[in-house]
Amino acid sequence: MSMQKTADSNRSSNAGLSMDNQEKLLADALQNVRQHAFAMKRVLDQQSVMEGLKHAANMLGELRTSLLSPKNYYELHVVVVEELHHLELYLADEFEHGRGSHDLYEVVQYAGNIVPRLYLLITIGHVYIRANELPRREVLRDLVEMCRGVQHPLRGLFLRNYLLQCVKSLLPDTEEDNQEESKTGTILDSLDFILLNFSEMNKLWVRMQYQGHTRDLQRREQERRELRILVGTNLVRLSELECVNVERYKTIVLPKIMEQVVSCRDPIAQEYLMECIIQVFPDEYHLNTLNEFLKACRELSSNVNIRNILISLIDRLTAYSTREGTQQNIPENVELFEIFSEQIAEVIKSRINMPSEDIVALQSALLNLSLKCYRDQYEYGNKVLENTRKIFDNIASDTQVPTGTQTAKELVKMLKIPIDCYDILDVLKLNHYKLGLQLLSYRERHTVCMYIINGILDKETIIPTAEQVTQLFELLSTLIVDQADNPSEASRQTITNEDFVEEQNLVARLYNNFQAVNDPDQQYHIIKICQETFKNGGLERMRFTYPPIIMQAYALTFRYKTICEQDEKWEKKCQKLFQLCNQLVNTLTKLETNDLPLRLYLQGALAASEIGSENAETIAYEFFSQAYTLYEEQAGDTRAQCASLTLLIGTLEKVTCFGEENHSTLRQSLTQAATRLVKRPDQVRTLLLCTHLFWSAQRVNESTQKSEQVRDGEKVLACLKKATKLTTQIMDQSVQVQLYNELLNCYIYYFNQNHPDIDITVLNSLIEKLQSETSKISSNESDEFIHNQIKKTFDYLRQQSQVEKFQGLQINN
Amino acid sequence: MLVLVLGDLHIPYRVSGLPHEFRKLLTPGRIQHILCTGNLCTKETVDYLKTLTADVHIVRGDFDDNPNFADQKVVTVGQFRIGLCHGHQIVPWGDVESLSVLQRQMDVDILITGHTHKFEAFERDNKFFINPGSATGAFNALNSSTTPSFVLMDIQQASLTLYVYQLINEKFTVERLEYRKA
Amino acid sequence: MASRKKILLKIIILGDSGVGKTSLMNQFVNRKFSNQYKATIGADFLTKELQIDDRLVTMQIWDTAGQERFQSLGVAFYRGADCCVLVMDVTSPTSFKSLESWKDEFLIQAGPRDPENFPFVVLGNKIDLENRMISMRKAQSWCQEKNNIPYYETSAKEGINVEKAFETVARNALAREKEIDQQTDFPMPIRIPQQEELPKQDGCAC
Repeated sequence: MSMQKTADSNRSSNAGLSMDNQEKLLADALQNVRQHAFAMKRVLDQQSVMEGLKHAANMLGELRTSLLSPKNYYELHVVVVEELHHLELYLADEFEHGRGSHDLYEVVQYAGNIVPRLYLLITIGHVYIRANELPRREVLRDLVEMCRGVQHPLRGLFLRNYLLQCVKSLLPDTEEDNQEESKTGTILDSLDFILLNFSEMNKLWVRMQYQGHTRDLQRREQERRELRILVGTNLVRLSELECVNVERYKTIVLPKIMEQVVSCRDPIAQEYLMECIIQVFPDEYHLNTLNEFLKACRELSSNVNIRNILISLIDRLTAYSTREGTQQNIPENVELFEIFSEQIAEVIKSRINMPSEDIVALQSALLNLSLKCYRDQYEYGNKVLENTRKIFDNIASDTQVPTGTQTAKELVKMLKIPIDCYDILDVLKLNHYKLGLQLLSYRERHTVCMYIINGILDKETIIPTAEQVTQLFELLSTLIVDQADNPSEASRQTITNEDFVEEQNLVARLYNNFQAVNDPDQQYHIIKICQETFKNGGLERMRFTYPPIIMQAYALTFRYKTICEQDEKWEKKCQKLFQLCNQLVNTLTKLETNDLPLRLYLQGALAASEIGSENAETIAYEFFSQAYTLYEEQAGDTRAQCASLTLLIGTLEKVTCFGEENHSTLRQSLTQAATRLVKRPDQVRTLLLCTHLFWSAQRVNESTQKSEQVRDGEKVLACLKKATKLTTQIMDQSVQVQLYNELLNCYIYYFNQNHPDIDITVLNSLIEKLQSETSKISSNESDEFIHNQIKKTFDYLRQQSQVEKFQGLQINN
Repeated sequence: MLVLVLGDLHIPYRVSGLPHEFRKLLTPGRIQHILCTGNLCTKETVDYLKTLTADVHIVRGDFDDNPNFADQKVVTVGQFRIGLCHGHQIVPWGDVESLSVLQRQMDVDILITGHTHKFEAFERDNKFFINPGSATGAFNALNSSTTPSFVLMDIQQASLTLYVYQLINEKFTVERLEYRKA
Repeated sequence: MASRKKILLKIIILGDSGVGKTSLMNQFVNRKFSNQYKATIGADFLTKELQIDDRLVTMQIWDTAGQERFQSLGVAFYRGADCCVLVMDVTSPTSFKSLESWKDEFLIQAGPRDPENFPFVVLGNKIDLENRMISMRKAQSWCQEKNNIPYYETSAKEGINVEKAFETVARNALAREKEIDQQTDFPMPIRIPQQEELPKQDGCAC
């Protein structure tokens, strides 16, 4: 059979292009294959080998098509090879039972067409070698040579791939000095075999690029990319051989592969094969041939995307050195960082047109490697960050990477690496990190800053010193102060902007991780630093960032109190903290809402009272009176006012440091405020709360200097009477009844508290009043709730009437 | 039926977040209802609770801005009527007698309140009172050393088993209490 | 004719890159293990004979590339599989999450008859490692949800449960093979070509 030119097949292959047509072609071919295969298996069952081979050849004839796309040809090939496997099993079985015919290898050489002939030869060769019918070494050589007969790229690639599949378990894998193996061959024969097959396949594959019209170039390149795994299988076979140890890999295998890769000068082949080498050979091999591999990288076509190759290798070795469960480390003599660092610098220098995103991606891989493989050597990571900055400065000094570009995205990815592998305290040791961050425009800086904070919160990292806090703020300034390069800054900064709220809440959360655990003075220092930093952020940011400072400052006073015996200045320090808080809350009063500062003042009053330092009363009074002033300014918002007054009352009931004078001023102010509320029911209810200010609330007894309860029964009664009077003035009967019920409950409360003036008679008159009023209101649905409440009160009283204390209680049914 | 009871988280004004140990425990799909005594204080925290179950009940704490939170709520689970109120509106704060009045008036079997940042659970006149404490161990001027805590209620018809989770010196403790409705 | 025919079972091993598919196959077929990681390209099979009760079966085990870029020709080899082995690495939650999509992808591409009852076996590999992330209970409950897929915890490195798992694979594949055989007792009618050798459309003789 003579070799014919194959280029003309492209003409006809266009006919098979359309999808429908492809499907039909494939379906027909598969149908034919199944029929031939069925016939083959039937005659084999009848022990008719020759007939079987004939059907097999017919089946294999389907693989002669030039019309199928690579994927469809592959599908056909899979089916054919599976059917062929039946023939192989049959023949092998024959030999096992001593019935094998010895001349089949010769016989099939007469098959008419070369494609079926070679498939059959390979199949039979495989069986014969296994049965020791023919010498392995010769047959292997014979087969790999004969495959040259198919020069059509697609068919040739699949044929040789079949050859690779069949020889998988046949390749000699023994040392070369083993004399007895001379007949079956040694590792050297296997290497010759695979390397020859590899170079032949690569040539077929590369040649595809240059066949046919240039207008089909894109499709051809796509097809080539699909077919690449067939070529890569050669490298897989090499990697499977046990005798390919590091030494042999370094001296024979890699140089030979590289020779082919470099000399083919085809970018698609080069890019893929380099990637394949990286992936199919073990890490130790790469570590021992880094220089060789990287040298070859420099010889690749300038159209090869060198970035992907280098990154792939770096990532693989990085993963290797950090793999868990195994004790694998980079050998000491391999200066991984230096080698890659130099290599990358070299590549960047030599490829003038390399896009900046590729440069950053390479630096990213290097940074990842340095942080993971050399965890404690911060100078490596620092160097990468510094170099990255330098590269940009060389292009254009002091310009930011435009937002949304690929380069910006790569830089963001790069800056996330240290956050992922380090905790923030270690990131702060990379003092060039900031330089990288500054390269970015507002939007990307924002992204990275948010990522940094989320990282700290997720890892629950505590930042223990003011110095570290300062360093961190330098990184996070994008979130902390207005940014000149944010065009929408002014419109963004409002409480109604959800993104802004989310961002500032995150900063506020972060603040709570600034904790000098056993060092209150350091904590004080942190508070000062934060206050000085946050004050530059504007009022809208302070709304979020000041409250945590204030609350932490209050908490710190408690810490000082616990060490009061070791620190004689503790009272002074507390006082300074309270002053600071007062000042900060005061700033917040400029906000449009008084709610927050009012509550913070009250917390201050409580804290000062609990601390009980020498001037606690003055401080607490200051806080409380400021809260009260804010309360008065709330006039107009009745609901908010009522809520605030409730809180003022509740707080005053708990503040214990006031002397009689201050306490009486405040409790009376609050009681009057209650009567001045706009709505009657609010007046009644807050008045009832005020009763506690005259009863259980505590103030300091001037003579004993001890806190004691007010217990002013008269004033309690006065409040109750005032509340009763106000209730009688309410027009809405349902509400009125409801309030009578609440009044009664309050009287019961003080009755239980043994108030001297509240006895059974008082209760009875109130019960009577309530009952008569209740009978006036309807029992419709809207009032059912009130009826139920009243019922619950009476249920309770009935139950209590069994108790001696409640004797004489009169409840009508 | 598992009901998560928690409150007074005070994120971000007093703490950065819920303790890691609690987060790990609170996985979506296990809990049917959440009763929250308030002071969350942000939308993010509300959203987080909603990832645990769709049925979330929240009342307003003194540091909540959300005007949509009610002051009081009654929720029925199994045979229990459960009252929910933050508690800063009840003077004196945490006073048992005052809480009893509220419990009677709300006509509930279980009253849940917060505000004191101190876990409490007790039975009084055959009614049950729970204060889940602060789930984040947030600072409180009246109770400066707080322990992070929350409560899980397992309700089977008329019986209630209470699991109290506390983080004492970074160590996790679980306590079990039982209550049966008369 | 099915009775005396040698039985060939086609098994496909799927799972994320690096979970140990090749290692499991090598351990089962060759009883060898290497700690070195070598990526698989395309798909490749090894065969192993196994005695199941009174029958000798040949298992054709297809090891596949977990990385999509090494599967550029598609997955035509899924077709005709008798059982599919899904592998995850118990130290990698991602590999566990991926099981679902590997399973779905297999059923779509292989298009087996009666996909509801197609036999899968799930292997949780690398149990010799200390940093396990996926508990046995979690994996088992996933398998139970998926129509009770058998689950084995394996170590290709130490040869734990590998034999046992593949025996189950073979049994389940065999059970299915029998069922399908009964369903299709007769092959489709054969259309005998008029000529043994039809001239090909293109002029190439190879």
